[in-house]
Amino acid sequence: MEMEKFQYDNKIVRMFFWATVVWGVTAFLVGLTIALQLPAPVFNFGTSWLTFGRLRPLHTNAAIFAFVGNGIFMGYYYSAQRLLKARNFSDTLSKIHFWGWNAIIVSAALTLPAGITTAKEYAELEWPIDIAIALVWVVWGVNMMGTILKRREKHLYVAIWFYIATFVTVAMLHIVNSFEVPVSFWKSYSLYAGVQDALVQWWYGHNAVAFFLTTPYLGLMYYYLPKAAQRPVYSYRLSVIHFWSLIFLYIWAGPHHLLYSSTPDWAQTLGTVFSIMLIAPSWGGMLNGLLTLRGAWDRVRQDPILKFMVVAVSAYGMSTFEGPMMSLKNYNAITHFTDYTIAHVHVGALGWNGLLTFGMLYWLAPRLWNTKLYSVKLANIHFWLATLGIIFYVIPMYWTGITQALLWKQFTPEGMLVYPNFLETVLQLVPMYWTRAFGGTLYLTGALIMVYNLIKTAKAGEPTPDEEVEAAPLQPSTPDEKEDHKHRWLEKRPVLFLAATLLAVAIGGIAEFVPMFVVKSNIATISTVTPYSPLELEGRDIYIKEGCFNCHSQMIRPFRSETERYGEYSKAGEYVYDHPFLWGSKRTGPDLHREGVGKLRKPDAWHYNHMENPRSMSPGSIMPVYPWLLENTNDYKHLEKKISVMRTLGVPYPEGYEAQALDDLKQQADEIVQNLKASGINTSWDKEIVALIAYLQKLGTGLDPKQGD
Amino acid sequence: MGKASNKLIEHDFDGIQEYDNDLPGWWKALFLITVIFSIIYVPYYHLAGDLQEDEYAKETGTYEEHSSERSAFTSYSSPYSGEVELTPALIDELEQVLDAPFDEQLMRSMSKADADQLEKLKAAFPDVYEAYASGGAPEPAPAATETAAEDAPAEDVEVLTDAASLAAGKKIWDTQCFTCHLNDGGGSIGPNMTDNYWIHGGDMASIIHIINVGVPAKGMIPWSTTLTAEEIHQVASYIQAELVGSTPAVAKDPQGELYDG
Repeated sequence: MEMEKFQYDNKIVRMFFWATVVWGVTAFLVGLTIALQLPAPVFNFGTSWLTFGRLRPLHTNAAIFAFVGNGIFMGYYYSAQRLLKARNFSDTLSKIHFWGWNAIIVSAALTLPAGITTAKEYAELEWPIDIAIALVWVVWGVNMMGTILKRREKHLYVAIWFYIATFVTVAMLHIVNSFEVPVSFWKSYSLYAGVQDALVQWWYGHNAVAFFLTTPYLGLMYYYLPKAAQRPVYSYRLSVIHFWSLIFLYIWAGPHHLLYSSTPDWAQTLGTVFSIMLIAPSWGGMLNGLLTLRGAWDRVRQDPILKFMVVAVSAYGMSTFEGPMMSLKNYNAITHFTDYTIAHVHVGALGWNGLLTFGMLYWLAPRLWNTKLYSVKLANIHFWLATLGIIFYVIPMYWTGITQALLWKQFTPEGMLVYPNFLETVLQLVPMYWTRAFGGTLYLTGALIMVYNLIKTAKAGEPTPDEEVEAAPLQPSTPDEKEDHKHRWLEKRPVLFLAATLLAVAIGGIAEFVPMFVVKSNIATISTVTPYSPLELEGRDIYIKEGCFNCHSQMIRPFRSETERYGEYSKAGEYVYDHPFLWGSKRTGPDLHREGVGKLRKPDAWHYNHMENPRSMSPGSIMPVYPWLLENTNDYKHLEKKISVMRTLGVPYPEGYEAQALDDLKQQADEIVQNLKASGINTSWDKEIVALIAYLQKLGTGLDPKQGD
Repeated sequence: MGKASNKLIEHDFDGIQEYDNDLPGWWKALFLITVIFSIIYVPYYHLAGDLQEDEYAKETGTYEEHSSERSAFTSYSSPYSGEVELTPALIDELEQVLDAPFDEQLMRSMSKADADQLEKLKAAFPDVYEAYASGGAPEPAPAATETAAEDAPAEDVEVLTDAASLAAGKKIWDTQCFTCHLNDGGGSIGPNMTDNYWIHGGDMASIIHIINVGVPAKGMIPWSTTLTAEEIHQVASYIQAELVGSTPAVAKDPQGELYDG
């Protein structure tokens, strides 16, 4: 048979290689900064660009999309060409992919600290960037499918299945969750409101974990682990079963982020049971990784690359067991809103994604520069620093989470909260926050040692030129071809495979969204819930801009310990005008859903002083200072547009209200200015703080309208 | 673990081979168990068990059959506040939901009401108010809705003068009250506590009552869920014995009426 000569593109792999390294260090550094901000608010540096509320999304985006994202593409471009025996479909598309993706990351690094955000977790980037993400993602998809179609390998290897599932599903998730109506170039409102927005967001958020942090990395594991171990994959049949069951089941599990919330019970139940059913499919991946090492365990002792991979796969196994446990309602009642979740995600992020990426980097470097790794010893030191770093990170955070949950729930024999002041429960955690920052420092130090090691390796070698290879062209299939397994039939048909994958991942979403959007009884209307006034709407946008939702939930769960502390538990009907929803996922500070009513309501002057310096009103508070809110003026130039966009989205502002909105805003602002004046504070109607106070005082008035006046 | 035949599949991808091993038996069993768990879980919660509203109602002692079908208004656990038009049907519903006679519920509302609300309730239900004011205190609310005994303005209450009580009162003042009234009592967000002018009355009983129920409209928190009756007595004593008559660094202008008790 005539052999075809062609080349593998190594340059694109090297480009993604360095991007992974640079963004990895960036993500760890931002992570360490926000870890220090919790025990020591001084690390917020008193400037709006560096406060926790704005840096936390930067950290998560940098870790997920910059570090892991570039890691996926690095690993993909190296492995896919070789598994398909074909050069990438188009070098131009590869380059557009690289520069486009990294330009998106740079835009994220600029817009998030500036307070430009949609407030939806891991989807914070505003609409122009959302469009860019969709386009660049499709560039990757076209480049991948093009390569697959011109492959010289008849069947698709399991790694490729996972790459295809990643492409299809992330495209679907990103597009559906990003439907938003622009107000201006850097501002939009989510198409969905309240409970529906929450359901779509956590369908997305959960599956960002599934299809950005899990499936592509399983694909990478299936290439790099057997390569590094030089052992066959344990079980092909397990690959088939766990691939299909994983992608089909994963998509349903999103509502486990909304247990005990205002989401209807049926949706919560789906979230729980599909999470439980995910244990075995997830562990299938872990098993195929660990059992592949049979016969190679002696080498694990010497080879730091295998060490990284073994701990990575074990961390994957741990977090995919823990996730389903956290989806049980009784356990979730303790872990949710606490640092427990933070520990959980960092077992996955630092352990599974981080360590597997490090393993790949060390494996690839000698091959990309045609040399030996500069120092195996330094790689070993890195391994131990990273592993210890994870331990020093997650153990205090598990401890913190359970401690705080128990403090929240503690009652005296007389039936009163033992810690009615939320701050008391926070101050207990400060020593653990320092320990966590220490763990993060170890992890970062290890990564810096790796950077040195990789640079030295690259300098010692020569960049490998595009590899010359040859392979036989693909022979057309014949109908009576005998296959060892039935699934092989599908592996020869990439387009059909892609369609089957899309079908598998679409079912769960459709099954949850259709009833949620169609059946009215899911969200009982409450007649006293009114739309935000113009000033409150603008104040809400400041709340979003400052990222308040990163530390404050707006979701009082139906527990006595929460209703005693915050007031009546939250009802679905209270959120019908919330585009986007702001339930939050972590309570570093107290819940704010009833901040404007009952015993939680505070005078305007309290909020004014508290935003200027939280410690003046709550001694010991770890909240950052927000003095710029007292200084910044708002020109309200988008107010009319905001009102009309909200009306488009179904908020019942009367026709023509745009013309009156600014007058109403001024009137409400003047009342607050007068209130503040009575407490000896002089300010003007157009300061940001005035709008924010109006919004905070509105919270909770839906059920308790008279208190708001 | 299932038998691993370790038969290699005759094909490789870039040098990676795969075994044709069967799935481990315990893995298959695990998958099956999670599926069975899920099949049982759904009817367990949705037919036999408690959904979250019922769970909450049981936790707070307001449970009754079909309570999860209650409307938004009735599931809102505040006692009647005088704001909604009272119909016989509503009285029935309230009695059923809270499982207590309506008069008793009203008294409980009165004991929790702020000054404005109390006025409204008094006007609407003079008879009940009289019974309430003359000490016909409501029975304790069922189970968890019970909060600390709340003192209505009534009989005179002694000012505690022993050092321990005043020290305890000062500690509460310096950690809780100072944010609005300042450490020296001069007042900022809240009124001046050093002059002898009072918006809601300067006798001990009135001070204790206001600390208990707060003045939410003006930002004063109802402290009855945070402080015990004893603690409230201590801090009220600290106000009367130590703050009133002292000279703060900056004094807010007097508000209310001079008390000459």
